[in-house]
Amino acid sequence: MNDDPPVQNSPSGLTPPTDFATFMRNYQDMVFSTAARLTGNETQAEDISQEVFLKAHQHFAMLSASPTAGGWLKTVATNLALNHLTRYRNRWRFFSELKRDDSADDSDAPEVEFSAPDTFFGEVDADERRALVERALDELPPHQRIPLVLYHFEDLPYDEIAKKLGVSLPKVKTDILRARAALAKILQRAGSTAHESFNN
Amino acid sequence: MNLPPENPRDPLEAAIHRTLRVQPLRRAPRSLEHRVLAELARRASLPWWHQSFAFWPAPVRAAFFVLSAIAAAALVAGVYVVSASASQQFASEVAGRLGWLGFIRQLGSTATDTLVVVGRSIPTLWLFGGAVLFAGAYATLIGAGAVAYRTWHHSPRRHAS
Repeated sequence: MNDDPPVQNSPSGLTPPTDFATFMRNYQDMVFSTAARLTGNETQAEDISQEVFLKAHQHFAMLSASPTAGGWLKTVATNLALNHLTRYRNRWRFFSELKRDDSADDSDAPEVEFSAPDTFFGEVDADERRALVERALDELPPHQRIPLVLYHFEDLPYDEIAKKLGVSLPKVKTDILRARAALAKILQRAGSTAHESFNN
Repeated sequence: MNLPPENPRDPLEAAIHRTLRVQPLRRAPRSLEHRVLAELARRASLPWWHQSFAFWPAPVRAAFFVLSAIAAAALVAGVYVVSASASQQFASEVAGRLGWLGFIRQLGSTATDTLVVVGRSIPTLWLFGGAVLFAGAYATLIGAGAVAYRTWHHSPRRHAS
């Protein structure tokens, strides 16, 4: 992850549309976050974000004055990320959907027990907690991470997620349930590890 | 709208919802802005005929429409004139000029007949054996590729950092 402050100055040697550069700076974190959480890959997320802003530039006359520009960008980022993932999945389905013994797909694992559902982390500080959650999301297999992100971050209902992903409604529900269980397990494990290192 | 985090019906869902919803946005890479602006500059520097039709100058687009309409009309008129005035002499002249097409057709037909004769002379067992061997080699190649991909390339944790 990039911990540097956001770029405030235009790169030299270019003649950027100043308003568009400002517009981009306002929304680039949101667009990048949407793409990165769906793809689980920062390089792909940057490519998708670039594509989103190139499309936005074509419609900049409309977007610059629109109060729903953020929603437009988020929808385009979501759709482009899903298109990318669909192409990738079709291309590599045979290879990547082979069962991995060490993957985070704990579909047969027992239900997670958590005594304090309000927190997975104990005394872990906020920055580390955020990093742990992002890493845990990236660890989920795509067929669990994508519906989970669409449900909890994008506020899409189950049936719309099923339609977008081209899978059945029961599969979406099952994948999200398993994703929550797997995520909780990863977070509890990460949280306890971080808590131990915090105390030592 | 999805289940709010304070809904106690499913504590795990509520806990995950709360955990995820307080996540701040991820910081976009510094290179993103430069990449987008560089691509916009590159596209802007392209001559208009290398850009998509929507970016062509309006007079050129209008001229393109007019010329396209004229070309389409000329094509339709030409077909009509040829079909209406085609004579036997014209048809035979065309046939004479395109006689080489008949030769190619005859050549293809001979090659096909030869292949059929050769194919029938091969024992069926050999054909099935060859097919099985080919399928086996193909499956082995795909299997080896899948194992190599899983071993050296595909690892979800590579992307976790």
